[in-house]
Amino acid sequence: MKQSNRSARAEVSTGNRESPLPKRIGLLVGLVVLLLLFIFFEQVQIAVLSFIFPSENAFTHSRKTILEMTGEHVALSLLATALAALVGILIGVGVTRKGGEDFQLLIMRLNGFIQTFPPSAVIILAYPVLGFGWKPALLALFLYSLFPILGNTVVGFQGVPPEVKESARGMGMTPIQQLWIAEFPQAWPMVLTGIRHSYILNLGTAAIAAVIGGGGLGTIIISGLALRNSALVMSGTIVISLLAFIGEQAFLLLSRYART
Amino acid sequence: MDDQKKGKLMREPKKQETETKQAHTMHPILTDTHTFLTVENIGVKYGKIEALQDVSIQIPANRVTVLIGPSGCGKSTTLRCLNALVRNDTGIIRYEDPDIEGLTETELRRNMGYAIQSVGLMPHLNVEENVDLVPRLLGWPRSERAQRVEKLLKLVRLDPKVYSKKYPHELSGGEAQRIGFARALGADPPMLLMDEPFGAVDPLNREQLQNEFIRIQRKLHKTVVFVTHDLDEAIRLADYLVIMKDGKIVQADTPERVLAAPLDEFVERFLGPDRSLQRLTLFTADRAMEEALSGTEEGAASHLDDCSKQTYWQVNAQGEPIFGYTQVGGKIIRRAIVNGTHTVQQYSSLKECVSKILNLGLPSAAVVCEEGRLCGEVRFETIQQISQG
Repeated sequence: MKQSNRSARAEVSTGNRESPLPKRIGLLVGLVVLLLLFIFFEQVQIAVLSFIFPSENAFTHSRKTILEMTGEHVALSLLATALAALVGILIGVGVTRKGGEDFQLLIMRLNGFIQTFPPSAVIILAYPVLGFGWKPALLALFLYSLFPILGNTVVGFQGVPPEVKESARGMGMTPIQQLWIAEFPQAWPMVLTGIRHSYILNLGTAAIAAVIGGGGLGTIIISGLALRNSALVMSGTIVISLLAFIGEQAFLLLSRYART
Repeated sequence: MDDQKKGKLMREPKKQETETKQAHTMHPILTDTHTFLTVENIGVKYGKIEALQDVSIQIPANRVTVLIGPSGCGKSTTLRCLNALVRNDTGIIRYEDPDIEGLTETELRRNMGYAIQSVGLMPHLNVEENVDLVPRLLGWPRSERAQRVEKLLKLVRLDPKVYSKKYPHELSGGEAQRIGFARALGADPPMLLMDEPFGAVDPLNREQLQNEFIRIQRKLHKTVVFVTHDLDEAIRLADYLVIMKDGKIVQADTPERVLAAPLDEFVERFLGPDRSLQRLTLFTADRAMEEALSGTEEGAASHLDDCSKQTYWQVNAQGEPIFGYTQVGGKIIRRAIVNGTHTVQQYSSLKECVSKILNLGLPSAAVVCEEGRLCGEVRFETIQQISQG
């Protein structure tokens, strides 16, 4: 992390964006290739898992392919992150405006309070209303990922230097222009960091969706646990880890791009 | 300066003449110009504190009005009332120009350049984009904007090729301030509001920026309202000096008259004990400049007359002064000249000239032009005459 910070600063001051970029793209492509090999080819899954657990006899889920489960998992995590980003940024911008500042403390406390619910509790509480399936899982993930996005949005907008806001107003920007031209570009890296965190968080937490029939990679992990089959658990874990690494790299690449 | 610039100087006042025909009220103090806007009995309250009480000013068009006073006197608040960043609770601000009178708050601000002490450049935009902000807000066509930016950067003496792609964090304080000034001039507004723009710059750079400001103002003739707490700066730049205290105006007049006849004890104390020396900041070097005796050879110094208190300047091939000679009591005194340290510029104050003269012990100070060439000298006798008259 320190390394990447330093290189990012060097890159800004010299205006040279090339040097660390191929490395990042290379890493990302490599991870994606690994993931694709694993989820598309059953032979690869069996080869890898039988190497780690030679004593197990089953290496794949009986009803669903890894590919399907990965699709569900990513869709659920992405959707929850996108919703949380939308709501989090809107609220975050709202409470850093002049009229909304009074609500800032209240919102931040509420946000922290929501964070204290374990996601499994949210799922169970939501079940009577939303029933089985992906919906209660989505709600839990959404509430859970709101915290980093909202928090970072508020911090990001608070970090805009007052003289920048003053000069933006003084030169005749409308409130929307002040937000869009002067403040948002400066808060954006911070906001993006929040989105990245919550996406990575969601990838892990989404495994719990399977408990309530929400699908995703939790399905293979839970059946692995039920059958005392470590290979199945490992199979889901490998994919989730790869997804997390890929997500991290992709967001870092995106934030680099966003700075230009 | 070269002919092209003179041409512009000629053209500008003509435009003002046609403006004055629209039956503007003449300014009560500066009789050679009309009133641009009138501040009438405005008052501002921050909670229970009265920041401004019953302030009335007539801002002269095409001149520099300087608001000065101790901190907390309401000078910044007054300035911020002019572009509606602060709402006045009582009183009104009237613009003589009906086109400006009818504008909304944001439109009004776009028609007034605004420069502040902390500059406030957008850190994520490069120099070019920063200077371009107001023209962009006003929706100027792209090609026109690009030309405008280049022209403005040249005006503040920053090479567009070097600077236009730089980001604010790559600029020094002085450079950032110049960009801030260029940005304020972005859409060629008739009026500029400047809130201690040179306050955060070191003294040497401040002097330089003031020189630049005088040069640009003599060329553009904007209506400027300038806030400062630096008396030297105020006297140097002001055509109309407004002294404030505790949210009220104490005295408003030309700096000459304020120095000559301070209205009350407060103003007198504020101006300090060395008022005659302060008077020298009123004048720029070019007003007192005379032709200098100069040459490339060393020997010519022997022609100097003992009693005429003349200086002979030895220049190098580029015309930059390198030595100054004078004769005192039959002996020739030679002083090495470091350009910039021992020389003054066209728009330096006479106070600065005196300091250089005393520093070197020569009877005059060398005035150098933009490229560092010797273009004249200011003699101590001339300064004495000016300070007495």
